[in-house]
Amino acid sequence: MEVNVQAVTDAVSLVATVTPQVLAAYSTLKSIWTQANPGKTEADFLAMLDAASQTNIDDATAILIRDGYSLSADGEWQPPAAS
Amino acid sequence: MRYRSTVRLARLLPLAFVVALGAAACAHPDPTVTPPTAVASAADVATKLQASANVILHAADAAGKTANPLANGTPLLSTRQVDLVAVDVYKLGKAGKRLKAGFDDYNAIKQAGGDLSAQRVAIQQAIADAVEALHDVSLAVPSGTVAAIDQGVADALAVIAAIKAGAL
Repeated sequence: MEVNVQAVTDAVSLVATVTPQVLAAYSTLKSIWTQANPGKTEADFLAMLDAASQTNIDDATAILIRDGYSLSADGEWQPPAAS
Repeated sequence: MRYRSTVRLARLLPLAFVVALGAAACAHPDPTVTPPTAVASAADVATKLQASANVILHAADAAGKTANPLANGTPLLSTRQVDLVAVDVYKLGKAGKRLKAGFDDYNAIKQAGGDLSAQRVAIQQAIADAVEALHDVSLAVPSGTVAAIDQGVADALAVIAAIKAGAL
């Protein structure tokens, strides 16, 4: 296996690009799973579930519409027709 | 030869991504602070699943816009892969809404002293759908990015076990 200067440069470039995203995702996920909600009622927890679920629906919908998908009557996402 | 080494490296980098995210997902909440009821506990875990999936969705979207210098600048994830993750996260969101509705029905019937069997089944199904959607994310993204949500899936399975054991 040959490792030359260009290969190392490419690898460093990729690591430098990706590492901040990985660290940000790490921090966010850790925050989510260590998050406690003292003092909240059952209704509060149910409201949080409802809101988080709606956020996923909205965010995923925005990405799929941006990429040309359409939602069929039966609730399935259809990819854009091949051009 | 150089091509082989760069290809190998390109395959290893997603693994590093998985390891980092997996470590994050293995963090546990403070056991001294618990939700007030069994339903609240289940809703809490389900909310964390939703939030984790949202992080993954946006990480995938960002990866779809990040050029891979080891592959002539093509994105780390293809548009197709990002879209598959989005479809799965959409399904997860829908399952979360059904789960919330199931909890509402469960509470209403419990308060009225009715039979809770059907509601337990509906809740189990909604959670199973959510877990399946999370699993599908791993099929859309290479190198098992689902490791990032292993803990979430494990917690969801624990919730299902608790429901089957009659904890709700």
